[in-house]
Amino acid sequence: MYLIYRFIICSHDTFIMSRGHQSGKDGIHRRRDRPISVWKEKDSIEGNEVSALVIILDGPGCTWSKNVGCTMCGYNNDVSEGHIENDDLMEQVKIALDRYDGEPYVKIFTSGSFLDPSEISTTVQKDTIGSITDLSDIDRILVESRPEFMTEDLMTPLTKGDHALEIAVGLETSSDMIRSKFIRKGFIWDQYVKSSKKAIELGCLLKTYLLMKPPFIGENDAINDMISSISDVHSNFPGSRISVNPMNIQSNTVVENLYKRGLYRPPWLWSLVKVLKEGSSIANGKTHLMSSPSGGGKKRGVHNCGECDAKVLESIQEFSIRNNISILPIIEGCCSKEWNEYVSSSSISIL
Amino acid sequence: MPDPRSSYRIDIIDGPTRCGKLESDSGKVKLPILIDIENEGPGKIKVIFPERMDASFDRREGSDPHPIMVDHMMKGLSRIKADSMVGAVSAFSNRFFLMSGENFSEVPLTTDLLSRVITTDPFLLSDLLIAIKGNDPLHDPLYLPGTGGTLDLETLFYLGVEVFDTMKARSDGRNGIYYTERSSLDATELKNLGGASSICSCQACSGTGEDLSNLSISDHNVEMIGKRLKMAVFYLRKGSLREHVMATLAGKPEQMSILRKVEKGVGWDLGGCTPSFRRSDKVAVTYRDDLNAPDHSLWRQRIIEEFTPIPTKRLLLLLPCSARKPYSSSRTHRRIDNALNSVKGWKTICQRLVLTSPLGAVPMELESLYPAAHYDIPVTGDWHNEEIEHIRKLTGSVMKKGNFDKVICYHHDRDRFFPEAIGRSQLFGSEFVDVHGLADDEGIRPDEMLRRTISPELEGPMDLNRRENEVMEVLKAIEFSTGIEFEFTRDLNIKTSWRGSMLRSGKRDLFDLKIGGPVPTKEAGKIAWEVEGNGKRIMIDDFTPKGTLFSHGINEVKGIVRPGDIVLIGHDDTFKAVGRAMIPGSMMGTPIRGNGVKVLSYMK
Repeated sequence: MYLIYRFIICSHDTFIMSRGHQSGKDGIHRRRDRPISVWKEKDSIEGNEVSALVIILDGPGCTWSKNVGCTMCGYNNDVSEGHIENDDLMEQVKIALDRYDGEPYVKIFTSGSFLDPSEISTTVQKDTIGSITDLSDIDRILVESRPEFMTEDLMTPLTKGDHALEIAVGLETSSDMIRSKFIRKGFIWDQYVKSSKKAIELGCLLKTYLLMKPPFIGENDAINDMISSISDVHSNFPGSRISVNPMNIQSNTVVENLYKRGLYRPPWLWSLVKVLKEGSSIANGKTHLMSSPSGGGKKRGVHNCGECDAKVLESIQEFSIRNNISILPIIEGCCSKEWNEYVSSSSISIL
Repeated sequence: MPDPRSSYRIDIIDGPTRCGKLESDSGKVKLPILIDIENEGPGKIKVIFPERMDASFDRREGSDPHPIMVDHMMKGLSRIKADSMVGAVSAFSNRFFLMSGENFSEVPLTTDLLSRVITTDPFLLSDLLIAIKGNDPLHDPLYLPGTGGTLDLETLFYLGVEVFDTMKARSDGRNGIYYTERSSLDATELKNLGGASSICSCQACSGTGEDLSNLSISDHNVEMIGKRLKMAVFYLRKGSLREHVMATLAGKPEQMSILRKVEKGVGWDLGGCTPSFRRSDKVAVTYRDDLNAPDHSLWRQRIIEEFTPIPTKRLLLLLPCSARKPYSSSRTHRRIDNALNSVKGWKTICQRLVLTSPLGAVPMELESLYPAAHYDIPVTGDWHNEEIEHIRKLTGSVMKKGNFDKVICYHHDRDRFFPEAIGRSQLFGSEFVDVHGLADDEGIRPDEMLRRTISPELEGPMDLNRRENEVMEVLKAIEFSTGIEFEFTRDLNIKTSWRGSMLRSGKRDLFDLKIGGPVPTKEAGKIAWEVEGNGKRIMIDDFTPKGTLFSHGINEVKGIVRPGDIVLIGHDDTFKAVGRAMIPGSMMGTPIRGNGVKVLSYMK
């Protein structure tokens, strides 16, 4: 039994510790007392650039994904099968926190819902948050959850302490039609609003993930959907954070099947720029808009022609921290005309 | 069936292909149409083809989706392991409408925005087309968004798609795929041709150097498919669209498989839509797939189902085909005739059957009909198994319906067609004479052997003399071609002049024996009308039809009528006119509008 660690230099020049890709589904037995990955990255708090520690726990994975599953989600690929002991999870947290070096922001990802007791027991939830709040200089802890687990009972014990608990919810879109039929997310807008209001009531911070360009949605529709979703989230939760996540094609997903058949192209970077620009105008500096595209500039991620990708991505990254619209590039030159034609003629609108 | 409030006017129906107009009070849209959809879709759209056409496009939510489309969409998602997206089908399955003028009208299209799930899968696409065509040839105009690229434009138009958009052409352009007259090439290769302007004079290409931007390629592609659709419509009107489509299929195996599957799956007749007559001078049979072109399949089926030999024929004489048509004008057949000239009355007892491909077999009395007098196939001396199968099947069918004492085979390749008969002198239970084999054995010419074989069969009195036999054979061709049965009388005669041949009764002209098929005069039509059930009949109100009879003006159709068929037009007991059907009888008198019958001659 070997546990392979490797060190990868991230684009933001920090070292990360990552276990090699040994899926539990490939028949190779893995230990469950090591996190999948830990790294540090730039993020922002209240518009100020901060360093964040990112911890990917080797949890049991998303219950929704196991039972139904979203069309774009391949996170279950990284999740080990079988039971995981609470002690193992806590050992993972301990190992991850060994890397802690005064970062004010810690983000915990479990490839599922941290607040789902069937994934992460309430004891582990409390102990994990507790062990982080014990650290000095902690300002904010981020966890992810589906809205159905954002109940008072589950959230209250995690809000004790000086830190701010930020709960990230994968709303994906404010359109129930798109979320239910194209993403198959399994909850509706009203549920999200209700749960998020409760979280804010309890002193939590809200971060909303939006998914740009679900399958079968044309480029133009995808842009319009994101802009209207930003508007809807902003008007309900001004001052929260919105992360626009352009689709990246993950393995063993419906979207990958479509992509392989030529039925899907990830969104253009220009489209993302347009969404962030128009979204920023709507948010008017009150709601923090950001985007950290996975696979940006790659064929399977948000991309342009290949020539201008790096430059545009850099601007988006900078914008995400500063939330300053002037950082975003002007949509002109390079492949912008082709993008414009693509948006015009890519498909008939269904919205 | 289209909504009765809407109006689809058929101009041409030819096998699976359709071409017509959408009509309403607010205007007309000619089909096929190539539309440039931009931005939101609904609303005014730019029409690339036909030129100078305005059209609008709309989508209605809440309208019933097309059940066949939905069914295939579900299958398509399942095939790509995207079952979980079935919910998307209902989201997309709205009806689309296309109309000229400002106001949309209830003219639905058979379409679905998710159709790319189907159109990227040749098997599923052919299944869809089979289901739609097989279910109802009167289906609403078909639109499969995202089709109409360089690969599939002609094939899908041939298979019945009437609305195309520019999405694929533009997408290919953005990816550097440059469309040509029949195919495409990588735009980087244009420099090897001296630049785009040296091979294309469209606005996007002209004046460009070796480098053409992807946006210009996109514009060029749109213009090119507009031109290509125009050409396809031209060939449809000419009656040779299938030939044109086959010529564009080189290097497109997926499209070929779709065409094969649809032609086989829907059946050759396509609900009676395959024409029995074309104006073409020649029908080229270039590819192996042409063996099963609807026109050829229709001929084979009709010979099996409808042809019966003249009862006086006691011998079945199997003959080779010839490049020149009709066969009797060829050197080969003139030589056979010369060899048998000394055998008086041989034609009265011989049912001559020409063995050929792709038609399988042609009874000699039908040699002037379409497509027997028109097909042109390259001869190599090789026969495919499928061709042999057709020949054997049709020969067997004619033998079964006739009353033949012997089968006399005068064909070089008899051992390929009937290997079991060689040496055993038996074919399908009848005596079989292998003329070439006997000639070889005796060291004489086959012509001479043929004469020696037939001569002894002519002993004793003949049922018919030569002239009477000639008339009988013409009557047989008339019956097969028009469904009109004329009783044989001694005063029937054939007059041949420089203008052609005419069947007459005394001095009264009855049928113009044209190449393509006999055409009755109005006198012949009147005589035929007097016998109940004679000929294919169109019943109308009491008026004198002139020019063109519209489909919706037809009250009833008696008999199976295909496009190109000669029909008799009348009201109750009164004969009115002779015409040629322009659409299948099954579509006449339906809410689908359009030309029904072209009137050839009428009673004043």
